[in-house]
Amino acid sequence: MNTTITPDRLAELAMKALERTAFMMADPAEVSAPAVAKANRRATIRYAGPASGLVTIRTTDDFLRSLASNLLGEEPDDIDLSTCGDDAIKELTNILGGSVIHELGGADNTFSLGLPQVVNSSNAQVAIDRTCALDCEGHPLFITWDPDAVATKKVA
Amino acid sequence: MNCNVLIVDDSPILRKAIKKVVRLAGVEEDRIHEAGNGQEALEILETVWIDLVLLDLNMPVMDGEQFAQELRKREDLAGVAVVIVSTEANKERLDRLKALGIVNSLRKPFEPEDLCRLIAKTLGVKQ
Repeated sequence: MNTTITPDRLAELAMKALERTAFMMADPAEVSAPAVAKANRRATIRYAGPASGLVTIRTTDDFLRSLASNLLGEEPDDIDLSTCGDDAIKELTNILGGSVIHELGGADNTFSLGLPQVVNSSNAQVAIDRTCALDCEGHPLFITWDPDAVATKKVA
Repeated sequence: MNCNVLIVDDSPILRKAIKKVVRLAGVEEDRIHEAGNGQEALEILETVWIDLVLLDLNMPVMDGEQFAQELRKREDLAGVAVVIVSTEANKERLDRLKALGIVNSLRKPFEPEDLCRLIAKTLGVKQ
């Protein structure tokens, strides 16, 4: 089992997920605290099993509009963010959470994944050294992997 | 393709995305049904004949594994084909599903062509 995921590897997983799920191309970008602070939309997903942890995505409304547009095959201007925004960020978080546990445990992993949650609070600290940044068609996307110290058997 | 497909996923946006792929696989739009969790899926199965269920695992109310267990308990529905389409690939969970006869699974993120192929394979359709 892998015990760590570098920000570079996290970026690769996210790029693959975006390309496969939404046909969106992304490039690695530089992580900076001010840039992360501007990403006002956040969602998390928890995993448990041989190890436990949290995957967090931070991005902007404009990225979510673009993501929803690609997922649904509709024009960005036709996307209603009030109904699609949360759904889009939760689904991307879910897919990335799945990619992380697959990376940690491989094809025969025994991890379980929780349900993605949208987080409305904006004042959380960001672990820059565990965060990757992507430029996805002009939109910023930040993904943070937070491994827990204590393993739990099952996600509540 | 003359078959009815049920997409079971708690994400409305992903249901729509999967629906597009199912249409690409040749299933007519009015033959594609949607449910947001296992409980809703069982309710649909009581009123509509379904040939194939595309099943997410992590869902609120009734998850995919609970749904599969309920499905196999029901004599009239026990033969319905099920394909797992989920982010989670927990081996123990997939083994339990295999014991219920659910052997085909696709891990998200997937290529649309992979899902098309799996739908055709499960329904025994030549592409």
